[in-house]
Amino acid sequence: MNSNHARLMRYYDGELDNDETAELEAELAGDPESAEVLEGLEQLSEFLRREAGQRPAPDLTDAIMAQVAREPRQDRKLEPAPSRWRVIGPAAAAVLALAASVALVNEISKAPEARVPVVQQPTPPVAPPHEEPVEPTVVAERDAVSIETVDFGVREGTIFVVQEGEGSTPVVWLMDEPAPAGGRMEPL
Amino acid sequence: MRSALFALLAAFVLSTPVPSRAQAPSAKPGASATPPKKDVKAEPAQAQFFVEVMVLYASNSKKGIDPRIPNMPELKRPPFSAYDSYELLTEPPPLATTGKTRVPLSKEDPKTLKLPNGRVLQVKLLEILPKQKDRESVRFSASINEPRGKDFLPLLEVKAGVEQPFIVAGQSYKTGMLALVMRVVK
Repeated sequence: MNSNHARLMRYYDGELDNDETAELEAELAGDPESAEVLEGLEQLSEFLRREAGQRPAPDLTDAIMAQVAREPRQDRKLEPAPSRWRVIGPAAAAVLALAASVALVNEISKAPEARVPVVQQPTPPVAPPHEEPVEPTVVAERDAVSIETVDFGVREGTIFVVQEGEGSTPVVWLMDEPAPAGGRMEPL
Repeated sequence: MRSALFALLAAFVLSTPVPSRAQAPSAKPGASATPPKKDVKAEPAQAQFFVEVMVLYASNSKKGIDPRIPNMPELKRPPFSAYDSYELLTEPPPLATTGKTRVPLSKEDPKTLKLPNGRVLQVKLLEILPKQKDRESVRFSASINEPRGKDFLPLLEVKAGVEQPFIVAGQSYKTGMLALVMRVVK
């Protein structure tokens, strides 16, 4: 990674001031390599937004670094003060990884067949949903008889069950002889 | 950097699903298409199911429950408990000792049973259902008709397990009513 790449990343993150921005934009007009790097950054960001559902916050690196600085370390008292490299090490690794991604995107984008999309997540083969073998519904003892269809014709009738312990007996009662008053009927 | 690119591309290629053999063209033309051997064993004869009908006459004649009636707790529960007497009617005579009448269930030939009040019960097998955990069950239809063709109960379709009773009640008879206790048996 050269300094120009770092500057491009800061430009993409909106961290350059007006003068630096104007200067870089003037350079981009005559520097196709830098323009490609910037395009790669945009494509990488687009990929991340598409895959992760959100665009990384522009100040993500700053937030991470601030969190790292705030986190108390249990072994801090036992060790000498961290060197400068230990503090910036994680950040440097992150920057290197990002730069590698940008370079990789650029390399891929140079291939005419693979311009869009630059980075494509391979779609894993979708396994058919595993269906547990379904046991036939065990008809409960009390449901061993079911009245499926009744045509009472011109008469009135009702269907109910007489409960007895855990079992029950379905009853089809037609109104040839009305059900005795006081009889308790339960819906089937 | 190029080596990283190649490694990544190799990973993509390796992770690409390869068409399975099942998707390959089937047998070559001319290959013998011998159908799978069929089980030459004859299917077992279809079990014969019956509807066992027990005709009870319910009344308030203070006679109690006929001792020939097997234990039926339902008769002591509402609404059947509104009648204090249940008599087992023996119809037809061949089964008079038990009071039960077995009517064979057939798909092609509906069977009838004459009831004490002159109406006719007709039953017809609709379907023998697959066994479930050794439980056998059938779907059958029943209807009760007047002698002159007038329907009392035009249609009743029941899915019933073997030995599981249900009751059709409410027909007027003498001073009380009839209760048909029906049960599929083999």
